Amino acid sequence: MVMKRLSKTLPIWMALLVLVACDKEVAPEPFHYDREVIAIFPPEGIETHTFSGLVYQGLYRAAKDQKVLFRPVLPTTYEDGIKRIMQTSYYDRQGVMRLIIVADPTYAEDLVTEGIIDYMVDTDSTKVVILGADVGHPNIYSAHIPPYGMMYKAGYLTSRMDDVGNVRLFIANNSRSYYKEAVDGFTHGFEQEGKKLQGIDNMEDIFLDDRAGYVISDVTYSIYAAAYAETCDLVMPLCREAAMGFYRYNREHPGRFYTIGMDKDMSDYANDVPFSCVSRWDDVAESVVADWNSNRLERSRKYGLEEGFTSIVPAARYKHIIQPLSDEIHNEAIRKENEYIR
Amino acid sequence: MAAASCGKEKMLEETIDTTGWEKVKVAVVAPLSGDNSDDIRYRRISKYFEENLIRAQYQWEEGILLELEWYDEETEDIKALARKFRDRTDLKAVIGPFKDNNIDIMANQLSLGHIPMFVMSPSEELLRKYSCGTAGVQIKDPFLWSLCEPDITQAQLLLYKISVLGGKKVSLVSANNMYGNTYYKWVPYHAIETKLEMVDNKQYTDLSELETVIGDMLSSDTEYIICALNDTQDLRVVLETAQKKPNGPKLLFTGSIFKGDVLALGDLAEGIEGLSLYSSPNTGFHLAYNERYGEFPKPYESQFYDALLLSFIASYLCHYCSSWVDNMNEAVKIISDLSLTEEEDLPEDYDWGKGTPIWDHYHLGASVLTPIRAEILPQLNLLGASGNFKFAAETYTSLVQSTYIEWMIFNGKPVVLDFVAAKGNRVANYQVAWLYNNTITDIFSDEDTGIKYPELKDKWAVLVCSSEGWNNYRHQADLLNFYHFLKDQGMKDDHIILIMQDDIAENERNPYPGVIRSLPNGDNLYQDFELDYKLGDIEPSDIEDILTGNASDRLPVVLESTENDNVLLYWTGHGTYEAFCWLKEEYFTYRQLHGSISHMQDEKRFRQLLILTEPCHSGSMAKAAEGFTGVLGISSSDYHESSFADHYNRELGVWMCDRFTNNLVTTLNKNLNISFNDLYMKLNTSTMGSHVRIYNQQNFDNLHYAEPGEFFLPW
Repeated sequence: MVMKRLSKTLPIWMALLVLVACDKEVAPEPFHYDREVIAIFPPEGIETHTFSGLVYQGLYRAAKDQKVLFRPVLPTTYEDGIKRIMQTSYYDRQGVMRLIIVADPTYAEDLVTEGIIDYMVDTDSTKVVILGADVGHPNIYSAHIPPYGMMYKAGYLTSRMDDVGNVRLFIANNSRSYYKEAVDGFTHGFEQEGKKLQGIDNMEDIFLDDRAGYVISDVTYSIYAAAYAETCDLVMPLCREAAMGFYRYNREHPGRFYTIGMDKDMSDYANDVPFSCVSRWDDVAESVVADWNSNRLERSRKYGLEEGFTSIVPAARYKHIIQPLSDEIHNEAIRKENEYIR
Repeated sequence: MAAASCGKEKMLEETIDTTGWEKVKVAVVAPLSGDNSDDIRYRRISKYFEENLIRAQYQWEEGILLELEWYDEETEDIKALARKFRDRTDLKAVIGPFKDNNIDIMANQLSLGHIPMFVMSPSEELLRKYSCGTAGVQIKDPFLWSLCEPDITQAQLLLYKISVLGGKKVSLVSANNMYGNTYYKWVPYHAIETKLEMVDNKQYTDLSELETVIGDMLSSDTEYIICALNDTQDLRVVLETAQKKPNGPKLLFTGSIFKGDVLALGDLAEGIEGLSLYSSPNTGFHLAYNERYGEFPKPYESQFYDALLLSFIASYLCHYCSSWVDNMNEAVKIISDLSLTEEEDLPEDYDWGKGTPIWDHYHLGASVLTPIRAEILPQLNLLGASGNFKFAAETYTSLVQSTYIEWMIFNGKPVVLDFVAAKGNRVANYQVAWLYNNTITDIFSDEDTGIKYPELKDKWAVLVCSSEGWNNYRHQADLLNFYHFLKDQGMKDDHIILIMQDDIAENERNPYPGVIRSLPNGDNLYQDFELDYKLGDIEPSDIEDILTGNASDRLPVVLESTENDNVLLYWTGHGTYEAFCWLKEEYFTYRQLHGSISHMQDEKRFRQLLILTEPCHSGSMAKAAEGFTGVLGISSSDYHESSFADHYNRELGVWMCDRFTNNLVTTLNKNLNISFNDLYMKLNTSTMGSHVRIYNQQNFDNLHYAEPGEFFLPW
C-alpha cells in the first residue's frame, strides 16, 4: 500500500508537500495504523476539569504529535470497565503494537485483588500501563503521580492562613490508596507546626455509593449548603468532578470560606480559591506514549513533585502571599514525598 | 525534510493525494454575515472534518469528500433556495438553516423530495410538524434530522437545577416566536413535574414589552426567572433592568443568547448563568477541539460537525451499498438504528462500552467505512462529536439524548460549570416526562360526598367552538368529533346546542370542500349535524342566556333543562388566563362562566353540570366549577399551561385535532361506562404536554363510582 502511494509521480507529490506547508488542514499526513493506544476510561465518562479529561487531552496530543492511533474506550459501568480491560489486555493482536492504558486508578486495586492482573500479557507487542496507581506487578507498567508532596505543601499553606480554623477534606473514596496518600500528605503538612486537622469526610459514606462521589456536583453542593456551610473555613475537595459543587457554593457565597483547586488551576471558578494543587496528567500521558514509542517504557515511573509534574499554582490575587510560602516549603515537601514513597 | 530509508518512515512524511476522489455536494445554509455570525467557526470546523475524512480513507486508492456550498441565511431568499434544492438531483444533503422560520420554509419544500435536512436546534413545534409519525399519511419517511433533543429538555433541566438549588417559585419570560413558544408551553408543565410553583409565564414581542415584563417579574416574589430570549440585544435589556433591582430573583438563561457575543456586554454580563446545548463529554470532542484550537467549541459546533459526518456516512452507504440502501434518508435511518442509548443493553461481545467515537479519523475508517466498503453494516453504537446518533423511534425526527452545559460568565470569562443530560449516567439521572406514569397529582377520595341528587330525567349538552379561520381547523374538528360521539350515544339534536363559526368546510383553502376530519383517514365529521348558532351571530354574553334558558328572538335555541337534568358544557378554541378567546378580539371570561353557573344554580337549571374545556390555560376556566354543588370541571391543562394540538396535516397545512379531545373521545368510545376516576387517570397519562385537571370533585360525587356516561348515555 505504501509503495503504491510512493509510486505517484514526483511533481504531484512535491506539489502536495508545498500545499501541506501552506495549509496543513486540507492535506493531512497519514498516521501509523499499526501502533495504537487504547485507553479505558472511568465509567463516569471523560471529565472536563480533572483526571480523566487531562489524560484524554494528553493522549490526544500524543496521538497527533507522535503519529499513533488513540482509541478511547468508555465503559458503561465499573464492572464493564474491568471487562474492557480484560478484553484488551489478555491477548496480542496480530501485527499491531498496542499500548493499553488503564485511565482510572480505581480499577487498579480490583485488578490485583481479583487476580486479573496475572493474566495480562506483557509482550513485545502489547503493554499495559496503569495511570495513577503503582501496583508493583511484573505484568504491568505504571505511571504514577504521587500526590503526597503537593498535598504536603497544600497542608502547610493552609496551616499558615490566619483566617482558617475549620478545615474539611472531602474524599471521593478513602479506601483508594491515592486518596490515602493525599490525605496523609495534607495532614502531615498541616500539622507540622502543631495544628490539628479537624474534619475528613468520606464521600462514599455521604453518597452511599462508591462512584457518585466522583461526579455528582449537585449533591456535593446541597450537602455542603445543608451541613457544612456555617462552620467550615476551607474545603479541600479530593473528589474529582464532584468538586464543582464546592466551587459553585464558594462562588455564590464569596468571602465565606476558601476552596482549594484540585488537578487544574481552578482560580477561574471562584474568587476564594487561593491556590490549586495541579497534577499534570496530560503531560504524564503524553510522556508514557513517548516512552512506549521509543521502547523506553519503565516498569514503574513516578512523576512527582521533584520531577515537576505536580505543583502549587497560586491564584493571581493571592500570589504574593502563597508563592513565597510555597517556595519556602518546596524542598522539604520533595524530601517528605520521597521518604513517604520509600 | 530528510529522505526516509524505508516505506514506513517515508509514510510519515507523505501527504495524502485526494486527486480523483469523488465529491458529494452538500449545501450549508447558515448565518454567515451580521453581528451574530459564526462563519469563521463553521468554516474552520468543516476543514477539521475534511482532514479527518481524508485520513479515514487514506488506506484506499479512491475516496469520497464533501463539496460544501455555503449559503448565507441572512441574505438568501430561503423560499427560492429551498425550491432550487428540491429540484436538484446532484445535491445530497442540506445542513441548516438555523432560524426556525427558515427551517420551516426549507422543510416545507424538502419534505417533498429525498434530500435529508440536518438542523441544529429547531423548535419543538417544527419537530412535531415535520415528524413522519405525527403527520400520519402525509410524510412517510423521515427527512428532517434534528441533531439535538427538543428544547423541552432544556426547559426540564433548568427547572431541575432550580429544584436542586432549593428553589420553590419560578417565572418564565420568553420571546413570542417559535423558539420562545417551546418554553412558554413546556416550562409550566415541567414546573408541576418538579414540584415548583409557577408564579408567572409571559411572552414579549419587542424590547419595550420585554422591559415591562421582566421589570414586573423582578418585583414579584418569584425566586428564579428563566429567560428564553432571542439574542444579546434582548439580554442587554434584561440585564439593564435587573441592574436597577439588585437582590431580585436569580436569572437563568437558555442557550439562545450565545447566538451573539455575550462577552461584548462587559460587566453587565458578569455572573449570568444558564444552559446551552453542547457535546457529550464522553465523545472527547470538546477536549480534542481545545487541544487543537486552544479554546472550547461554542454551542452548536459539535452538532455542525455531526451534520457533516452524517451527510458523509449516508453518502458512503448509498455509494457502496446501493443494492440495499435506496436513498440518503434511509441511510441516516440505518445509522440511527445502529446506535444505542445509554439505557440500552450492549451485546456481550461489544468491546467499546458507551460507544465508538467516530468523529475522529481512525474510528471512522475502521468502524464505519471499512465495513461499508465490504457491503456490511458499520459497527454498532456510533458516537459523533456531540453524542450518539440515536434518533427518536418511529418519528426519527430528533436525537433522543443530548448533553447540555451549565455555564456562567465569571470574571469576564465563560466558565463550564457542569454537564447535564436528561438521560444517561453522566450527571442528572432525571427521567424525561414525555411518557410518564407517576404524575397523577390529584388523588380522589373514595368516600361518599353525602350529596343527594334528585331523580335523573333528561340530558342536555352545549358545545362551543370559539375560534375561526383555516389555521384553527382543529377546533371545529374537535367540536364535531365530540358532537358525533354524543349523537352516537343516542343524544338528539334538540338536546344539543352546537355553536361554531362554520368557516372551515367550505373554506377556500380546503382542498376537500365539505370535509372536516379530526384524524388522517378519519371519517368526514362535517355531515349529519344541526348547527344552532354561528359564532359570529352571537356575543359571548349570550352564552349565559343560552345556559339559563333565557330565549329571545335573537336566541331562539336555549337550554330547557330542569333540576332533574344533567348538563354537559364542552368548549374548544383558544384560551388565555381566565378567559376563552372569542373570534379574534373578544373573550368569554371566568367571571362570565362563574356567573352563568351561579345563575343556572339559582334557576335550578341542572341536577349535575359537567364542564369540559380544551383551550390553553383552561384550568383557569374550569376552576369556575369550584364551590357549586353538583358541578365538575375537567380541563385539558393547568392554569399556566398550553394545550397541545395533534396530527399535523402537511397537505392541508393545519393541525387536525387537539390531544385532550382526541384522547377524551377515544377513551370514552373504548369504555362508555368508565368512572370519572379512571377517565382522569387515562387522560392524565395520555395527554402529553399538559396536565389534565379536575375541579370541585368534593362537591360533586365519588369519582370512583360516578361515570361521565350519566351525561350522555341513555338511562
